[in-house]
Amino acid sequence: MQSCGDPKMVKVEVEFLLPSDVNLTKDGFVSLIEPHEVTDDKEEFIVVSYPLTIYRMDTERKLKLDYLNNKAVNYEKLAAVKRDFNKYFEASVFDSVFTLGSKNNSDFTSYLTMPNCFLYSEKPESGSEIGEKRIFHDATELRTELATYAQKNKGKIFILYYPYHSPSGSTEEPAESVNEVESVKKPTSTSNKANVSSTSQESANSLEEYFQKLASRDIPYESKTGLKKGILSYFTNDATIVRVNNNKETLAGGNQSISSYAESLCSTHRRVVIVEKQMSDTKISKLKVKEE
Amino acid sequence: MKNWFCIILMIVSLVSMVNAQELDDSSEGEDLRLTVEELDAFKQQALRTVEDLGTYIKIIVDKANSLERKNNNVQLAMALFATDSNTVEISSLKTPQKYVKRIRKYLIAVRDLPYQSVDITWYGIHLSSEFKKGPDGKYYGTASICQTFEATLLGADGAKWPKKKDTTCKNIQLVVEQLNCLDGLKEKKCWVLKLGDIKVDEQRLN
Repeated sequence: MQSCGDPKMVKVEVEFLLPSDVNLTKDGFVSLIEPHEVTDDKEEFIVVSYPLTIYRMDTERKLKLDYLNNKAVNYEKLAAVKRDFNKYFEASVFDSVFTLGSKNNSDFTSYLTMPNCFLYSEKPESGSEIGEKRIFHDATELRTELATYAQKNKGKIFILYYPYHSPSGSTEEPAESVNEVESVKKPTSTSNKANVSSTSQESANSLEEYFQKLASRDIPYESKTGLKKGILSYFTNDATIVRVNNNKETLAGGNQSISSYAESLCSTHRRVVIVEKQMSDTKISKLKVKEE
Repeated sequence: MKNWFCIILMIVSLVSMVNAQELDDSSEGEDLRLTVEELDAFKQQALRTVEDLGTYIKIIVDKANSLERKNNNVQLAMALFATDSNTVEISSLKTPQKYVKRIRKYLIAVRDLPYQSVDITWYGIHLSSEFKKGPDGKYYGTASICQTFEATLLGADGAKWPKKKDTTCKNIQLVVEQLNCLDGLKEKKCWVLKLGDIKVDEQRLN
C-alpha cells in the first residue's frame, strides 16, 4: 500500500510466471525443453495454463511464452502491452505499476486459487473465467476491484494477463498500440457480436415453425438468435416446457424455461410435436411436447 | 388383572391408530410411488437426457463453435445434474489412477482443451440398471455409455501431430425424485429426472 493521503492509492506488483519446462535462449526468448505433449492425466495442469500466454518482464528482458505455438514476440509488442497497462493503472488510482518480480519455475496454476491473484484480458472473447477465477475484461472495473481489495488486504497483488485465444489454436498477439487498448474503455462490437449482427437472422410465422427452424441442421447456429428471441413472444415469462414420454409427463433437470428449451433444440435437433398448450390470457403458460 | 390387560390393549390400539393416521397424512400430500407407466416414461426420458448430455459435450469441445455457443451448452448440461457438486471420474491412459472433477469444472476443462481439434462422441447409450426405489424415496438407476475421444495437436512448425484417440466407457447415475415444480402457474409436487455422478466403467485403448 502506498500514499497515505489517498486510501485508494495502491501499488500493484505484477509477477509474470513461467512454468518449469521452459528454458531461456540466448536472445532472451523462451523455448520449451520438450515438445509440449498434452495428455489427459495432465489435464489439471493444461486446462488452467492454456491458453494463457505468460509474459515475464523485467528491466532487461521481455519474454513471452506461447504455450501452443512456441513463438516469441518482439520486444516492441511486449513494450506496448506494458505501456498500455501502465497507462490504465497510472491514469487514476495506482501510483505504480509493474514493480516487476521474477519467479522462474513457479507453479503458476496455484496463483489462480489465490484471492490476491486477478486475471485480466482486454478481449471479451477470452471467456468469463478460468476454472473458478473470473477474468476481468474492463480495466476500470479491475482497477476498482483492486482498490477495494487493497483497502481490506495487505500484501502483493498478482495480475495474470490473459490474451485472447482463437479457436483455431493460434494465440492472438497482444495489443500493439495504445489506441487498440483504448477500446477497452469504450467497448466496441466484439468479433462475435459483429458476426451475430451481420448474420442474416431467420424468422418464423408459427410456433411449430419456430421449433422446426430452431432444430434445423440446415440453419447455422448464428442465424438462430432471432428465432430464440422471437419464440418468447408466444409464452408467459414463467412458462414451462414439459416433455411427454409414454403419454406421461417427464421433467428432466427440473422446470425448463422456453429460452433454455429453444437453446437445447439448437443442439439436439429434435423434432418437436406439440401435445397440449395451457394458456394464460393470450400466452402459453405451459407447453407439453413430444420429442422425436 | 383382566382390567389391566384391557387398558394396555386400548393404549396399544390408540398408538397404532395415531401412527397409521400420520402415515396416511404423509402419503396424502405426496404421491411417493411411480406407476409402471411413469417408470417407463422416465426410462425413455433418461436415455434421451443422457443422449442430450453427450450432444452438449460434443458441442462444447468442438473448436469450430463460438465461445458463446459452448458456454450455452455448458449451462444446458449443468441443468441436467442433481447438484453442482456432482462429479465426473476421468481415467488416464498412462496410469491406473483416476481423477475426479466437479461437473462444471470438467465441462470447462474439455471446452478449453489445447488441441487443434477435439471430438468426443458418445455411443452405446443404454440403461444398465433399472430404476429402483431407495430408502430415501428416490428412484435410482444407471445409464452406461462409451465415448471416443479424438484430438489433434498442432506442432510448433504447424504440422499436425498424430491423432490421439481413446475409448472409455462410463456409468451415469440417474435419480428420479419428487420436487416442487411449476405446473403452468401453479406449484405442485412432481417427479424430476436428474443425472448424478459419472464414473469410469472400463477403459480400452484403440
